[in-house]
Amino acid sequence: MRVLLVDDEMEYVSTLAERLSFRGIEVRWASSAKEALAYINKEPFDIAVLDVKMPKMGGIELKQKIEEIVPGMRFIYLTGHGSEDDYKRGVTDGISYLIKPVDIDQLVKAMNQAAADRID
Amino acid sequence: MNRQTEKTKLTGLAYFGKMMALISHEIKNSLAIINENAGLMEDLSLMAKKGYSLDPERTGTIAGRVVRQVQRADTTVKRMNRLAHSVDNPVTGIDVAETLAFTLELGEKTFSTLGLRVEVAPLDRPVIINTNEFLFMNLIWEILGYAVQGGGRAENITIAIRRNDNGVDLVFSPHHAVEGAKVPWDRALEEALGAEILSFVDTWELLLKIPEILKKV
Repeated sequence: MRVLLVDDEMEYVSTLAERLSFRGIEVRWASSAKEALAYINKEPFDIAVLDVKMPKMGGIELKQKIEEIVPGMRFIYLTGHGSEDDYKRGVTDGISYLIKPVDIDQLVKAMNQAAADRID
Repeated sequence: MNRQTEKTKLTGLAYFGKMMALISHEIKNSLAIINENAGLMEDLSLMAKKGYSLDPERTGTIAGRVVRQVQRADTTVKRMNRLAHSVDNPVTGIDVAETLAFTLELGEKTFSTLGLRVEVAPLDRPVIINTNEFLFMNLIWEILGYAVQGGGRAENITIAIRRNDNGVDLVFSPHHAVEGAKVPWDRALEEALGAEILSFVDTWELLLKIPEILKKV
């Protein structure tokens, strides 16, 4: 499973990436939507884990941009926001919506589920 | 309770709610980083038990991150506390530049998300007015919010502060929500502060005049 993590909090995303790599998951991390799109255009990924609230381009808009490049990509939203509107949007899109701080086992479970659902 | 007072209260509640959401988001981010780094320490400890060596410099780096995030969260809680106490007194002396800076700090994430940079032009000496601190902050927020939503979508706004005969002028430049003399928000908040807002289409400036002493709220 190849995962792209995107979050503007570098100390968060880099640590999470390391912990996921200890669990055998191949991870790249990006601290902005721009950086994430550069990775998407360069390497294959199965799942993108996106922070919802980021400067300039948030996770929801980034998801749309990624889908234009990689239709069938699976997504997970991470957020500290927890607004009901964002949750409903995630659920409507069929996307897991996890609120920080996230239990890493819960995240891995969501990733495995998303990978199993992936449309090739 | 008259209609204007009711409108002011509703606007204030909306502002307060928005600020609480931003503050909680900020605290969540700090907690998330602390959580991940604690988890990383657990992972490294488990690996050490299996024979992998634990690098002391690494553990020092992780501890440093935790300390930084605790300090960040503490700063956020202090801001929350100050916001909470801004409603304690209907009229109080405020340092205009300092209160403006605090208002901008609170809204920092939102401004950043919207791609807006706001700077306050430096002053030689403090300008103090006696007003309602919370309503002042609320009005600044409304003005900046509409600067972003207005046509032209300002990316950089400078706020200049200067004394006038009766109080203080705050000049927002450029401000693209300007349409002649009309401003897009309700005037209740402005009136509650005894303030006046003037807009200048030719220079894309918005002028907020606030009296030195607020006579009634």
